[in-house]
Amino acid sequence: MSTQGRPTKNERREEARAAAARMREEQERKAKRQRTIAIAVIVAVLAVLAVLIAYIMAEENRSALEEVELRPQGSTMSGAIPVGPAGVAGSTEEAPADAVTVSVYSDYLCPFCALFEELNDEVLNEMREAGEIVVEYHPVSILDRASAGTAYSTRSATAAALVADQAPEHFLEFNRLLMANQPSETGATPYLTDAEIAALAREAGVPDDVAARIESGEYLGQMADGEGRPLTETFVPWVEAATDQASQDLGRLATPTILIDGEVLDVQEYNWQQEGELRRAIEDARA
Amino acid sequence: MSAPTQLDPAASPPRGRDAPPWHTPLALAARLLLGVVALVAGLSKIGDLPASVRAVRAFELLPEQLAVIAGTTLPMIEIVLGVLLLLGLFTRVAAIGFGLLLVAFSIAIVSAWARGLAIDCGCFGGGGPVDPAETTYLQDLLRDLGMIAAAAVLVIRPRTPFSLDRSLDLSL
Repeated sequence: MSTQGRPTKNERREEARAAAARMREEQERKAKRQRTIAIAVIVAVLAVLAVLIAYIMAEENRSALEEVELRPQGSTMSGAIPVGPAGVAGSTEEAPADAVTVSVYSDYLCPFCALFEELNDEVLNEMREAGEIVVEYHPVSILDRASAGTAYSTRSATAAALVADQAPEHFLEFNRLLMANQPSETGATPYLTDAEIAALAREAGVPDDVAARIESGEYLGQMADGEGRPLTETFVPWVEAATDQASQDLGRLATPTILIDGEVLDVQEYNWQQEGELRRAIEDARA
Repeated sequence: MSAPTQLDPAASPPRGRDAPPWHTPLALAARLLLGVVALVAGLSKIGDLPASVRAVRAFELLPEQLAVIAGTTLPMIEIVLGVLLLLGLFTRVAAIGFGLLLVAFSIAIVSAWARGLAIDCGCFGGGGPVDPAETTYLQDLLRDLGMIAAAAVLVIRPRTPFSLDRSLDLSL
């Protein structure tokens, strides 16, 4: 090969060829990079979409109760206080796997709810203690306006939630007493005072410190901090969320509504005002 | 004679020839292990997202709104990373992503342990309070640290056999 300063024709040709090859390399690398970027964009978009869709679907299915910080212990995500054979609120562990779930949606100010309780309490307790059913109590608040501005539905349901949480073994009796001592919707005082509710709690056996929280009004958490958060523990947000959840789950929330294993009890077929009908409905569901 | 076409050094496979021979199977094992773990962790949680939120909440680290977002999105993020790792697609990015998640999980576990919380990590579903005698912080932590090491291997050496990175000939 030539060692002179002037490149020969051959050398120039070689150089041109090498330059062309480099350019081709460069172009190929560029194309490859662009293809990689395109694939990366597609994969990233798909990944973000997957996460977003999962998130949106979860948001839509989310129970309002998920947001609530304080829930009665053992309460369900449908807003129920379940009671099993032991008769303790929030504990259904001893219940057999084939026990039928009976859900009772009621407002402590609703006359027919009190009637249902009066007529069927015994049957429910009997079958529950025998392990045939688990009873889920759904205290809802839809009749506040009917209590002369005292929000009795919310107050009574909140007291029930407090008792379920703090004195779960006395919840059933407290629930019964609230129904048995229901103020008349049409009477002069269509509500019980906090002191009267506390007295019923004491009668049900609720310890004094818990009853005192009802008596003083502390259970409503009305003392709030600067940002509107209650200063004392209160189940009012839970009652509101449970009511909202009940209306979502039932579509049309009327009280009382009875579900047997999730199916609305057909009162045309099983009139619970007649003796033996509720039991028949439950036994039909068990069969 | 024509000189061999000059190759740009960047075009030659990085660290390819001189890496010790055991590197390749090690990186492949790391990729498959991480992929399976991420996928299983995600799948075990995605069916019950409220439980996933409760598991995050139980660590008492994130404010409520962030806990909801984290608990809701984590399972799908884990699934996506698991699929990427198993396919070997954008392995390095996926390994960095899952590695960072594991670092966050480890910090959360150490913090829960240090604060004396008695919770299940909820790493593979479940989560929330447990009996203090039933906590498994050390095991969880060692497992996570091992997987962080595996992720580090992949970040250093993302090219493995049977990967889409390779068969699609991506420039990474």
